[in-house]
Amino acid sequence: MSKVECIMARLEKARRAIGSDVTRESCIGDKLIEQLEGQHFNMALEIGTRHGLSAMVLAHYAEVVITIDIERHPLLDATLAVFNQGLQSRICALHVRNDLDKRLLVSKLDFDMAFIDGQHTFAGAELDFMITQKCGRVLFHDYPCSSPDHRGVGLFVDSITTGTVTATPPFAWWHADGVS
Amino acid sequence: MRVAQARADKCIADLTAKEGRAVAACSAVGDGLAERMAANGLHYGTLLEIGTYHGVGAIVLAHFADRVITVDVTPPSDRQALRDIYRWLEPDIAARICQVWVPDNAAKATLVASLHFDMAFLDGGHSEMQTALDFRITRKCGTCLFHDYPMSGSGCDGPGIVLDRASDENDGVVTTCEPFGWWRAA
Repeated sequence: MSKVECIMARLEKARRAIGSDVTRESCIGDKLIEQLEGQHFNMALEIGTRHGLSAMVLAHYAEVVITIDIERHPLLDATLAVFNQGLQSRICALHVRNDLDKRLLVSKLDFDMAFIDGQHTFAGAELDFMITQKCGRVLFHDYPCSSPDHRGVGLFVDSITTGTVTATPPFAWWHADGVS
Repeated sequence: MRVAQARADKCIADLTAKEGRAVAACSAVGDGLAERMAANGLHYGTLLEIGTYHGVGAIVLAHFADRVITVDVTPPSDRQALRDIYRWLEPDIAARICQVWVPDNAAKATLVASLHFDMAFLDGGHSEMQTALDFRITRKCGTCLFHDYPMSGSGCDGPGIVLDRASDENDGVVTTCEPFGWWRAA
């Protein structure tokens, strides 16, 4: 079974366990896998855990995934419980009180890739980018989203003036200068 | 450092006046944490606390560090209580404290392995296994302060066993001042 087939099988298992609506809501439906194929990271940081499904996908492309959220979704534990012990151990799902705590924590973390899928306002995307860009590789979800509630991500990504932005809707990669 | 201690003590006194003494019950604060930190004579960049409990220890520690990251394995239902006590703090102290909840020890170990910090305060699970784990993942910073040394009985003898073992094996420098114990890398 290929890696992609393995991920898809696990997603199907999760879908059965926690409900199809969950996977439809998630960025998984937007083919996160395609964005990550061929890459491998030491430490991926995700902002915006929600159900934990994207963290599961990321865990196939990183040694460790730290995923941070402010609210613990009631289905998160159920999602993580679906995965085997080996995969679970690569996912560290944290919760903090607010954006200030998130900023403080991330400032002391080492990671080499960030996936931003938290608040979808301009200010939310800006903050998440500001605190994660030190890693050199940032993947945004919902670029450029047509949903009025999510337009902030697109507006913010379009305003970035440093590094290189590569748009592959509904995702956008940002790479710092000199980082591939 | 004595100024920091006095400020920390006043902060806790104000807090207990508003929230009641129960908020600091069973905390290292009541055992003289501020005094121990002041006697240590150092101000740290980032201090990691294992074992948030009510969050009162982190408030004291925030007087001796630019930032405090306090980690606990806590049910989400307890979060509101933790969040509330910080509303009484002066903004500059509250802004130094970052509370993190992890689901289990594995996640805690993963997080700590990725964190940069200069000192650790260990006041989480007090079993030998739990204390040994917390020591193993935090000792990279070079300075660990254990609370409840050498508490014994009721499955709480971890700090005593772990610190005494380090001392017996000449692993770093162990200095005790009950109910605290310092471990410093050689």
